Amino acid sequence: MKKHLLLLGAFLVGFITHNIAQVAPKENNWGTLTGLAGVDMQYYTRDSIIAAPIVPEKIRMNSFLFLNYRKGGFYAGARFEFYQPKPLLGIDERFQGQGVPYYFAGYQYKGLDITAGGFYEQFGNGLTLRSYEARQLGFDNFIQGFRIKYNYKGITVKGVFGRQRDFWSWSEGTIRGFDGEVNFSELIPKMNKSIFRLTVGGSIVSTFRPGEEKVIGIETLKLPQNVTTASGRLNFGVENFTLSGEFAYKFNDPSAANNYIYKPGTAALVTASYSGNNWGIAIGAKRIDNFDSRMDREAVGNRLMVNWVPMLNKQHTYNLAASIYPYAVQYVGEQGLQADLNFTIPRGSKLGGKYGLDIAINASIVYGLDTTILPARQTVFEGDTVLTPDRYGYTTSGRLGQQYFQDFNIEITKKFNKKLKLTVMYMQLWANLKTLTVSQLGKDPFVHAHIGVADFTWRVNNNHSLRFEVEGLYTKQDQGSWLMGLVEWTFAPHWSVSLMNQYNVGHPQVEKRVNYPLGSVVYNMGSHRFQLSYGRQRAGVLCIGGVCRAVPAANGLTFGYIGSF
Amino acid sequence: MINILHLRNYKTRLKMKRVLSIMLFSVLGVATYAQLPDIALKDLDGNSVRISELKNDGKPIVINFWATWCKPCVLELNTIQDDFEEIQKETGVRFIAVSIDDSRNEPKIAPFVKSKAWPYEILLDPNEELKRSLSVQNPPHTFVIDGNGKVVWQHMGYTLGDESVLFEVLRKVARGESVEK
Repeated sequence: MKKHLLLLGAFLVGFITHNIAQVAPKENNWGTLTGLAGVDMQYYTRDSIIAAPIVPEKIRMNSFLFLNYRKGGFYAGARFEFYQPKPLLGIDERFQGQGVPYYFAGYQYKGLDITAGGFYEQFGNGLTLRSYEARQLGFDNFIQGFRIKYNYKGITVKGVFGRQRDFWSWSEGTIRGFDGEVNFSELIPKMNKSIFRLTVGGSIVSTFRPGEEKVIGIETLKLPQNVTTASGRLNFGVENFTLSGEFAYKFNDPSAANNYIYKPGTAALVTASYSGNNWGIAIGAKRIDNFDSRMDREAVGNRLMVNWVPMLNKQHTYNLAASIYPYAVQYVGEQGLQADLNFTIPRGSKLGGKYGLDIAINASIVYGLDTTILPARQTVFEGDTVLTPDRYGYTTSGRLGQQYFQDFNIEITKKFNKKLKLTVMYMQLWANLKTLTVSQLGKDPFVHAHIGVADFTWRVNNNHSLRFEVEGLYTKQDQGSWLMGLVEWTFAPHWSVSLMNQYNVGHPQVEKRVNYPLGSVVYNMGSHRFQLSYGRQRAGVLCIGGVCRAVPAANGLTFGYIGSF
Repeated sequence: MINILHLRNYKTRLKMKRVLSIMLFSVLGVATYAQLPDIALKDLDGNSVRISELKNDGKPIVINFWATWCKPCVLELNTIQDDFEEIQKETGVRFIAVSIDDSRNEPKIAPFVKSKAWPYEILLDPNEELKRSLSVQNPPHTFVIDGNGKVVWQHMGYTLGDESVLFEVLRKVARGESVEK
């Protein structure tokens, strides 16, 4: 009997291994594992001159490891996050902790895609739903639940159901969303051959948040537990011309963000663009009215945001232009216009020279809505007549409200030869600091500034290059004028060393005219990057995609690693 | 009977060894060769392109993540443009530049690209689906895919001179040589 069992066992092992051995060499692959790891560590030193907050823990760290596995149509992944003893200065302290909040599994089969667990999703422009991650901002609002997507010949449908990440827990509310889109150019072969393009889409998002009543003073508000947002969008093109737009409507949604009013919200975006030979233009307009959607009525700041409103200004990257007076989208209400023109004076022409001359011009202007607050109502409470606000809130006219922001900028890039390249930028900006609350409010509520940038690159030889950057911001308001200088030496493919200084040359208080020197060394190895910096960081505003956070001043040593495999 | 059993065991052991070596090879293979995910992105005309079905007749494919606001990305794509005709003739490369601009900048991408007359295929990844799936953190990030659809090389960031390394990798892949990651 024993012998028989041994024989049977041997046969089974033989059979199985034989078959695996047959299959395995053909596949030669047990799937694909990719990953991403990041470490940001900072050692803080005291610096009362720049008013850096005191950090009793001395050293703080944000780090993560994301693993992503695929095998055929199957996929799964998870992300470990670590913020100890506290997150870096400026990142919301509620992230303190460690764990694996984000994990998922799913499969794809012939255009069908099913995900269980955490996922990021965007419907249209994001007006009704956008979950995304911006690590540097400390922003992460992925949905934990279930998602189905299906794509067939230009028809795409998506359904999502789940709860949203709220630091280390989940939102109490639940989100349910549906999005559909038809691309007629893909659906109808005849249309694909024509000069016309047309895509039409729409979405419905419904959030359920428990809680039926809210008491404010003497009022008891009856709250809608289910709030629906719906949108329709269109993208139409003829040859090089494209017109696209989206309109969204939100049913009454009283919340802390809108002071508990029942007015419905609206959002409209329209853009038109045209591209010619060596040039292109895009013009955009938008109007937002009471369009802050959250998974929790009490949530403020960047917490538990369901939707996302794209901003209509240039995304600047030069230091002084990007981080002193950036614009943040006003979900409560705003209207604006933008024009963006790019052209290249062609290579070979007199002005263009051998490499052409690139010119980018951008202008944007944003106003608030012209609102009229409805008169307060008289309510009798315990024998007294008390005034309570009208819970519809306000009415709007088609006129402009107060101005929030204005930006005109022109950037010219000229490559003289294989070795020398120069970019110059001029920007004029006007900002209303009363509205852009993330900025530090000086004694002046309005700032008018001129910014100039010269960015010069000298390619010494094939691997060595030097870059010099000089920036100036001139203003009489707020913290006054700034100067910045940067020298960067890169030795491809591994090393980069830079030295930067920012100087608040025009601060109204002489003792606050401070220098912010910062030195950095970067080592790059394929898809792994190590960075070490030492010096002062200026307080400012970091914005990614119109969502901003204030960055406090700091002094110390920073180590950063990011690696992808 | 004992002999047969012994022989069987011996054979099994041999097979086990083979299986183990295949397993080991596969695990290493996991780290060495990454296949592309089945994600559909839109091109500038709004048509879907399935990433897992990208083909180039056995010649190399480049997937480069960039954004209109990313200075090193624009510098990289401008610099590659200077030698692109030559390198394409030599290697037959298909160059795909995936923009991770969000919907704020999406309407600006086509005018931006056309104004620069970039010779690349442009795909849009506005909510970073492909970027996340390929474990990319910051642009620019470049992948080279060989004739069998496998990711054989990747690089993060750009400094002047990095393009020569990319060109060398493309030449090797085009010749069918192995590439050190």
